[in-house]
Amino acid sequence: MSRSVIIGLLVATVALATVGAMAASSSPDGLERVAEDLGFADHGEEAALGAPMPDYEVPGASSMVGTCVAGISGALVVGLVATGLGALLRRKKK
Amino acid sequence: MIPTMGILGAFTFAAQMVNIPIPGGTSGHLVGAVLLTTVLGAPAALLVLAAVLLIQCLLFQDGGLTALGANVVNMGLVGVLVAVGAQKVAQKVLPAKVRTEVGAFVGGWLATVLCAALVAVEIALSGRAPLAPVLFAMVLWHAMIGIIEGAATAVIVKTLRAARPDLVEVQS
Repeated sequence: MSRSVIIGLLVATVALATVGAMAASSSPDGLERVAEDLGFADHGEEAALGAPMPDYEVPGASSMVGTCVAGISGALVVGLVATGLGALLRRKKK
Repeated sequence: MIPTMGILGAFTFAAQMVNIPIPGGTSGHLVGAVLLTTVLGAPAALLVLAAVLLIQCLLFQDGGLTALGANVVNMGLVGVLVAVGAQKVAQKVLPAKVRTEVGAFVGGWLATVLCAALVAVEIALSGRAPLAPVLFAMVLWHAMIGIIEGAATAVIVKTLRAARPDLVEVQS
């Protein structure tokens, strides 16, 4: 990728993960809405494993700070994992 | 290829955080399967989506470890296969100027709706609700959410192609 495309995607990623995520609608998504309407929303399983930032919040931090920390750290970790998978894919191809 | 997967993975994760309201008090967000497939090809796109879904459940308790397999199939595999199919048809029947973007829009919409239909079938099989009402409601809401997915996919693909035509290589 050219430098301008990389920079553009990174800027968009940071904007979405912070400003975008803070401005995101809190209405139920499609599946949640159907689950509420049809009465099976309570049938979700308990979490099998606790997560450090449940619901994209940082325990103890304000919602705004928590969302930004969750967004940036999540994007960073996904970026690293996906880069690693890319390296594996390329090695396999050789 | 390597940094492309990482950067698009991060972008997809961030985009999935942004729920956009749709009429009727519901919201939807981008999944990105068709976008990733158009840019990266099917195998890499599926790997990136699996990474996004894995991090969502491990770090943010979103989706859930026991639902991870279903999520990878429903959003990942279905989305990737629909993207490949829609783009193949678009490349064959549409004029060169618009076919990649139209294929991206149709693929994005269809992937969203088919994924929703499959989830409805899975819910019915689990015995939590009868098939007909779940299928109807899931498809209805996601027919609206799919417009967002399709439009965003087409706009991003167009933007990427304008910047780097070689980046989005579509096999016809």
